[in-house]
Amino acid sequence: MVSYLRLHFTVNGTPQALRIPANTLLLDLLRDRIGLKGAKVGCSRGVCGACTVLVDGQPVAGCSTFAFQAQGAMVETIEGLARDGALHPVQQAFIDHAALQCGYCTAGMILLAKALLAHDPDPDRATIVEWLSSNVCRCTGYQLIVEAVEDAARRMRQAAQDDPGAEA
Amino acid sequence: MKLVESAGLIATSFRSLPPFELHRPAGAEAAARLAASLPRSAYFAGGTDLVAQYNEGWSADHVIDLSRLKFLRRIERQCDALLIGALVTHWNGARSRKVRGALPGFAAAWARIANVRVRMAATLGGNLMARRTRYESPVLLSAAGATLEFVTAAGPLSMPVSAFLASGAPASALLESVRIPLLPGMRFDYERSPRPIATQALALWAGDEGRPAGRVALATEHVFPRVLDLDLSGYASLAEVRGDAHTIAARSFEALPADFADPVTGNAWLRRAGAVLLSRQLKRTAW
Repeated sequence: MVSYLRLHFTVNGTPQALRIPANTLLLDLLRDRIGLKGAKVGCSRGVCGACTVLVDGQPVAGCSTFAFQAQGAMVETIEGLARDGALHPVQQAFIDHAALQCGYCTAGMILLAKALLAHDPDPDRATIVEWLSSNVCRCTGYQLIVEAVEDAARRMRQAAQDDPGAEA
Repeated sequence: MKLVESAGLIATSFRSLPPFELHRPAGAEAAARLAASLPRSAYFAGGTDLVAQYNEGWSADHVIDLSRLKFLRRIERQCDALLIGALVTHWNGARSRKVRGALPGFAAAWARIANVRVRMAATLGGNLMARRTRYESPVLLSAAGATLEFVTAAGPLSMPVSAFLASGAPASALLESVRIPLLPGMRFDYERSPRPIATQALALWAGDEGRPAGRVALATEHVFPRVLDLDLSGYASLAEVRGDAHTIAARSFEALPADFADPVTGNAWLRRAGAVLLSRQLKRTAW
């Protein structure tokens, strides 16, 4: 029985060991203790997906996940996607397709798309729409986001062909 | 609010949930005993609904995390039933070879509820135990004639899903698994296009002497599923059922009790819509 616990997990490749109250939400931990503000506070009910982060590669709503659920896990936030100054292909595709307007949903959308492309590198449009419908965008009408994900998938498949050993 | 030198006064994201003690029992019986001994305790599975309840003002003094109970994630095909552990997520359950092999229509229906992100985190047990009328697994499991298997401090307990929805489980009972009977030739269909106004699940199987038998469950956003047993006694085959789908559907929904309605949809509309949906479902499924 604990009201506080020591949480060991990895955030964007950096090991973390933090003493936290059991009732800490993952989103609050990331934003307020670790200082990663990329995951946004939206509906706080797990509906809008603005708070989406990846836990062991799986998209979760940080606002509806207790931090203790991430014990031992690898957590990825939008801040961890770029490598050596180069944006992740999904990030670059979002820019190239103007797949954002206010940007509030963008981090969640990009992480959701990254999870999709790890799960299915060649998704059809219906699959992309099904996955993206987990999150809400109030600006773009989704069309440009879907096109960005389609393009990111093409780029990542091409990159994998060109350099089979490269990290996705 | 917090003062940040470069930005001035900004709102922080921290919203303090009521504190609780976290427990992590290693066995189902231990978890049930713990829940029985602790006032204001709650089981924690995938967390999607529990956190929502916190945000709605509910709270518990003790949260019993079930993540160590790995056997609650099992799916087992027995000779006459499919056993699905309470901690099986919608994502894993709908994609399970055992589920798809035994009840492909049920697996297909299960794969359509909620959204990908929620399906990956939320569990079948959590969805049921939340007892929210708008949740969809109760509709599917009502049509399937499922039974819920609980562990209690006093021993095991079985309860038909309909009884559970009507009255809830005994305090501190831990849902261990859901048992779906595998009836001969069982097939399944789910209609959620009018959701949340109405959702409807259909199960068909070969009954006595191989004659068609079936059950339909209709639910709304505000009312738990109502189950109707289909009277298919006059039909020798599914082909005959399919050919007479419209009549069967209309006749079946004449039996919808007059008290089945909600603030949005009246009984007359539900009778009509239920019949329309059932006719479509029979044409899709009875072949």
